[in-house]
Amino acid sequence: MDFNIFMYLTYGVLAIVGALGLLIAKHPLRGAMGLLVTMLALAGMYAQLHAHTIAVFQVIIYAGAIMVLIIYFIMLLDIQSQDYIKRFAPLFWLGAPVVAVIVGIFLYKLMQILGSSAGVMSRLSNAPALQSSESYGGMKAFSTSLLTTYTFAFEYVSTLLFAAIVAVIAIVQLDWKGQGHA
Amino acid sequence: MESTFFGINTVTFITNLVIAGGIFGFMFTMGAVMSWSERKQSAQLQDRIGANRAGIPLPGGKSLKVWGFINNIADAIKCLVKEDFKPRAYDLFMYNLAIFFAFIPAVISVAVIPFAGEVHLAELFQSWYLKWIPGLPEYFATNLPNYVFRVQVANLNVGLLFVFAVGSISVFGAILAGWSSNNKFSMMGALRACSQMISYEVAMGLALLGIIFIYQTVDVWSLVQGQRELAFGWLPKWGIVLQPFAFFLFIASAVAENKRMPFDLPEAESEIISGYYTEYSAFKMLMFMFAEFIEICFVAIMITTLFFGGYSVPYLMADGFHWPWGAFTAVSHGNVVLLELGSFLTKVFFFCFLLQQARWSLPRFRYDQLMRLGWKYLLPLALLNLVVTVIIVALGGF
Repeated sequence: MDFNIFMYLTYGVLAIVGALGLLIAKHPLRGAMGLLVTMLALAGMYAQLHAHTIAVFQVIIYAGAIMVLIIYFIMLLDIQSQDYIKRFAPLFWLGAPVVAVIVGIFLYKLMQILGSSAGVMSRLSNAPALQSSESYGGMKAFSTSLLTTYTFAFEYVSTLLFAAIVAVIAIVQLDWKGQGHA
Repeated sequence: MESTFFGINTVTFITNLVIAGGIFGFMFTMGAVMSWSERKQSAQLQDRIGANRAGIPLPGGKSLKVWGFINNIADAIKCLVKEDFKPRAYDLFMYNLAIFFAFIPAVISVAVIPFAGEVHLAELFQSWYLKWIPGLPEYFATNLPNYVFRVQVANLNVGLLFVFAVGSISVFGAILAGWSSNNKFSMMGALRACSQMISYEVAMGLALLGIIFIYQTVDVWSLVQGQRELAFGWLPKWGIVLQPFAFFLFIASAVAENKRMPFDLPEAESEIISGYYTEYSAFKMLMFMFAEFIEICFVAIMITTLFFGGYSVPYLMADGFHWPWGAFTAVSHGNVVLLELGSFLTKVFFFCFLLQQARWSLPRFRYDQLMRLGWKYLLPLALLNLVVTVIIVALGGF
């Protein structure tokens, strides 16, 4: 097996293990660490596909900023009791079949794809993304497409985020004025 | 010559292995050297002698002390064999994981830094210091006459951003250590470390944007290549020449990022014992200390690479010195490599010294002063620096 493919699959497995860790872990901080593993593994997958810029931004923004914020709050709230889990425990029987169906469909589709066309792996290794690097995932290529093709989408998303921030501030202030200090 | 190893050319594999081993080995060695020099330097500044007792006994009643350097080995042995105290932690797994989050990012960011220029393997083995090896010079001259490699572990086209990405992960070390220790002092230290590192990373990134703008690259190799050019035919285009203001912003925010004096609030002894690593003992504590020393060395490496031309020696090209007055002094390839390595290490050692000197020269900030400096002074000044740089570049400067 080609080394690149091997690393790509390893990152894929790591991403799934991290996601499972997030779901299974009892303590929120362990769950957050599972999410961190998933994010770093995704960055590894991007890097393996020669999208170096996106890989680095994945680490800087998701692992370095968002995860730090999440962990900061988990640490500050410092929930030691696990009573809140009991409250939602009965919902397990509702959620489990849904998850099982989704996973089943996913696995069925995956088997179908892998079974229908032989040599998926060799096609993956010959994909154009794996051949070129600088012109594909380098800083210049990334910046050019961000500032030309995707300018509208990029600015639109930032407007959305701005709206979310305004909404959060509005809600928090409503609480302050309404019930006094909670 | 078509032999391969894991699908990689054998010669490439071996040279990469040697370079990676050498560079990472250098970082580990620097961790030890820095802890020694810090002890000696603080002793000098406080009018003491410093570590000078431990030594390796030599025949004839003398002992090998190397100005106290052997004390490092004694300390390491002590830390290895003493009791490994474990707190009743919230989470022992996280408690142990924190060490790796502190240590590994400190070491791996050096991977994108070039330690010397391009090396021509066959010519290198013709130099006076390698030509005595039997067989190899002839072998490389006949089989690999054109093999060239770079003294750099990974040549990433997003190298500078990689440094920031790895740096942003190292926050987790402090957070996890402080949280999992089940200790209020550790928790305070972790909160301080976290907010401080995030605040100063913004200023640090913005301070470097001017550099990125001028050299038009985030590839560390190309950054150094850009600094090798000359302005007006005689002035090396080093970062300090083109971005002198960014240098001071960077050095201030990098020291804060490093949690060193005068920004060492996360581990302020007089307030919160040792901050986030209060509950770590023996070799685990040593790992945190070691990571911090390696980070100081890495800050020195970054300053060298971004502002002082990296490995470049002024006027030295691949074949020799091209002096600005038109003269030319030929230098053999082996000596060029030595000069470049020596130039890089000299600069790094100098900045290591400077950063350590700062520790004993300045008192610690108060916490509100720290935050005010980061957000109200360094951040706007970095933005101002960027705006001025952009205007000058747009007007056709540089």
